[in-house]
Amino acid sequence: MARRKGTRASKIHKRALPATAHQTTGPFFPAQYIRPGDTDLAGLTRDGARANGEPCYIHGTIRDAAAQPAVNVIIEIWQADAGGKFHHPADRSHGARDPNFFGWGRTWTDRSGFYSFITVKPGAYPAAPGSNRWFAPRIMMRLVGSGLMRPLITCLYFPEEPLNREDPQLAAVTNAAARRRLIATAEPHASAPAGVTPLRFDIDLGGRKPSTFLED
Amino acid sequence: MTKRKTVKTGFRPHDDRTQPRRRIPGYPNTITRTPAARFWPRVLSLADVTGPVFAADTVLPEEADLSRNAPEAPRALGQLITVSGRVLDERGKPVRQCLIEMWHANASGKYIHHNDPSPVPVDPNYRGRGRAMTDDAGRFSFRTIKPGGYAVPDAEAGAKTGWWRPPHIHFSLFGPSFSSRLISQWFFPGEPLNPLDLILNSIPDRAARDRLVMRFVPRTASNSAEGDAAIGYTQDFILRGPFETPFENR
Repeated sequence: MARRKGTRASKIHKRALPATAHQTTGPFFPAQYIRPGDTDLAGLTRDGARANGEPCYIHGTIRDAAAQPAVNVIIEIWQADAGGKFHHPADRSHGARDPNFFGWGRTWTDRSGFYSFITVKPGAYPAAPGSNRWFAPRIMMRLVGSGLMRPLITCLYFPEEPLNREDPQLAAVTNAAARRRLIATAEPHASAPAGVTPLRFDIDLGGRKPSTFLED
Repeated sequence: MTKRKTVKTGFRPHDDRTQPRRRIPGYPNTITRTPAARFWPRVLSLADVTGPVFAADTVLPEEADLSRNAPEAPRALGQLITVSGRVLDERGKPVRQCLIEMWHANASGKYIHHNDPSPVPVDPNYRGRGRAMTDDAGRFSFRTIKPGGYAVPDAEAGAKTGWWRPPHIHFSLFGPSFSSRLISQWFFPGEPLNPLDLILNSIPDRAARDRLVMRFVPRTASNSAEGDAAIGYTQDFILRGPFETPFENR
């Protein structure tokens, strides 16, 4: 079984067309493409039904190699709903997904390098259908912007989450300090709505203690 | 006890020669915003093979026409063009219902953006940005005006190391998954500034650079039928994938 799959994968490799090259967004990504609702995945700040689950306020500062605020960096996030289901046909796992949760958001950093999202804590999901190995609650993040010739991919994990210990991605980051950079810290913020769990996730693009980035 | 191992299929690491270098001398943001540390292996999961799929009615047909602000509004100044193509995956299969966002400078080389300090004129009839969704054959088409080249703003280039950007069009494509997302730029054939552009030429592989340069669409009766006879440019996007769902090898 595994051998057949492997053979097919290598055929894909040989026959594959080359993927189009990435390029930077430059500094002029249209402001209109970032809509007000794109930073609120939970539906807390708009009319209509809210998503299920524990609401969270993710906040942080993005800094460059000189520890200066990285302005106008676009951050996109993608995650499962509170039940661990992705709003996508490729997720064929059992159980209903939350109809009020799409799972995608986008924002950009302001003059101080600050960004924030309101979302819900995603559920864990199995490493493969029927597996007893789980990915811990996590939020995928993609950074693009001026000077980023290729996207930067990172991932936010939740603090004091028991499943972090067995998460396959955290396990693949074999350096403890690098692993810690993937875990948000519980920290209040003045802009966090009442009753929402505030989590801080700063991103350092360079410098002596850079964030942990995954292969793109 | 059953031995378990997570197997990943369909994920091809990028061939770095076909992708831009991350650091470009003369473009300071590429130096200060590029991590010096290693990149860690990415373990594929459902989070990578899924992604936002936007409804077909997300986009209005008029958003594919950047040459004016409304269907009956006056046209922006500049050479009227069409920019069309297909979105395919790495197996050559069409990517349908792919949201495409695009933006570019006006005919004078100025963006509709608060960060653009250029003293050249704005054009009130130019829309500045467009969106489209691919059809079942992966096709899309925009109508717009040819952008001008421009001097890279000092804040981007460093005041003493500036260069000129050739006319180009920015694209953002979503594709079917988090991993297929692509931000890129397309260039015009035969532009004298193309060989001097630090951004296009940051891609080491010549064929990979050429895939970002559009071709002319041959003129035919059907694409010349309209009274405004735009000049046609075309190219294809190849998105990464397909990414198969990881499975467990028992």
